[in-house]
Amino acid sequence: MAAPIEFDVSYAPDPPVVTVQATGITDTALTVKVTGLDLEHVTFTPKTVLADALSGLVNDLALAAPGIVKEKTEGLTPDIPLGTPIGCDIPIGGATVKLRLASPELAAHGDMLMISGTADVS
Amino acid sequence: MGGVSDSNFDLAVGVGGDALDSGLQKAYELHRDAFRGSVTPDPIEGTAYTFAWDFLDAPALVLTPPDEDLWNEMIKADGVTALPDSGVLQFVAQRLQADCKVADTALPRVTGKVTVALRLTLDGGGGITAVPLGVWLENLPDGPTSIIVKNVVVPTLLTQGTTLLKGLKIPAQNLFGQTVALNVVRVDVIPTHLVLASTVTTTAGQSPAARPEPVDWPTDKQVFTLISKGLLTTLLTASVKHYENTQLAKGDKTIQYLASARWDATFRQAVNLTVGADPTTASAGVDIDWHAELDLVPLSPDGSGGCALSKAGHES
Repeated sequence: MAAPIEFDVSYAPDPPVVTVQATGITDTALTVKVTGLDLEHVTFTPKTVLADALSGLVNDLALAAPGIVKEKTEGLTPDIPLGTPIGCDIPIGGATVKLRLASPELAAHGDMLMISGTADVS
Repeated sequence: MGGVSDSNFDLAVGVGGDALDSGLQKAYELHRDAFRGSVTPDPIEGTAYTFAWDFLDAPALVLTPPDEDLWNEMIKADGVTALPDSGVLQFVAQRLQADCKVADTALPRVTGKVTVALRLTLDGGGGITAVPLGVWLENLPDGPTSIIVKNVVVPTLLTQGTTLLKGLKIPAQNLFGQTVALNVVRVDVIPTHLVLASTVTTTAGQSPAARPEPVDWPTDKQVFTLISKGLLTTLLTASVKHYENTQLAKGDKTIQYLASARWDATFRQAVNLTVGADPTTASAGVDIDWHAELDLVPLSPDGSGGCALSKAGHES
């Protein structure tokens, strides 16, 4: 079987910009949603000259590609694991008290990201 | 009130006074022995003195300086005269039981309220130091100028108050899967909260402002963590790396007897990740690794198929 015909691929904008929104926080993860990807065009340029029928096939594919990439990407929820629950150890009188953030909530405070909640002392 | 701005710190942790008191209560329950003890310093002018103490209740923190009257009544730590104007808090025990002995003679046991005033300052090494300022006892075991009170009881209580908060710092945090070492650059004692603010790295030669601008901390939250855009960018950039080289999408299309074409797009890396004006949002350029190829349908045994066309394609 002959080697496949390869293509140079260009896309616009390059790079496309993805936007994400942190939607919430749990004890174990920051939940993030992909809210947009501004990929507009994809062009497949053959490295070998193609017959018209084949160009049509390739152009159809290229035309549909941005929509497929956008659809697959938008709605992704690449949650970020927190590793360990947020908190700190407070040394008190020779003992260590563990203070954990319970019922965490996510918000903005000024231009900083705020994670707030109640104290869970153990 | 100044705004909460990136430039001063990367991460701030605020803990409400009620939560701190819960912590003290818990420490008291779990480590009761840490709240009682006994000292017998080297004999003073040939006489041995012993001070045994027992906190009969969990002590509490009051996140305000002592009022003027109380401050005036306090026995000051060595070298302390004026009450500092920031970072001062009080460690208050409702019932401290004191048993003192001068030589072999036990003084009558006294029990009463005790307040130790402390000041939290930066230790210059990324942590916090509690500096003892003064102590007030409701009931003294002996006269205020007696050796046992001046040289044994007061220094011991000042040390106890300091030890209580020794080592207070923001430990290395595991944030979003990344371990971040933090240096405290600011400590705020406000009536509702104790707030420690830190940077990821200290800049050599740059000492934190002695009296930083007031910040409008979110005091309606019992516990809060504030993360700067700079730190957030670092954390998110590291998190996104886990998704590098994952396939985003693929597609294919076939013309029967002629050819089939396919493509796939793989996420290579994020470029210029930027946290938005709303810090719960971010954007990044997506560097995509595309691959597309086309296979001609091979010649079938009877000679039919797309080979002639593909050949034409090649020759055209």
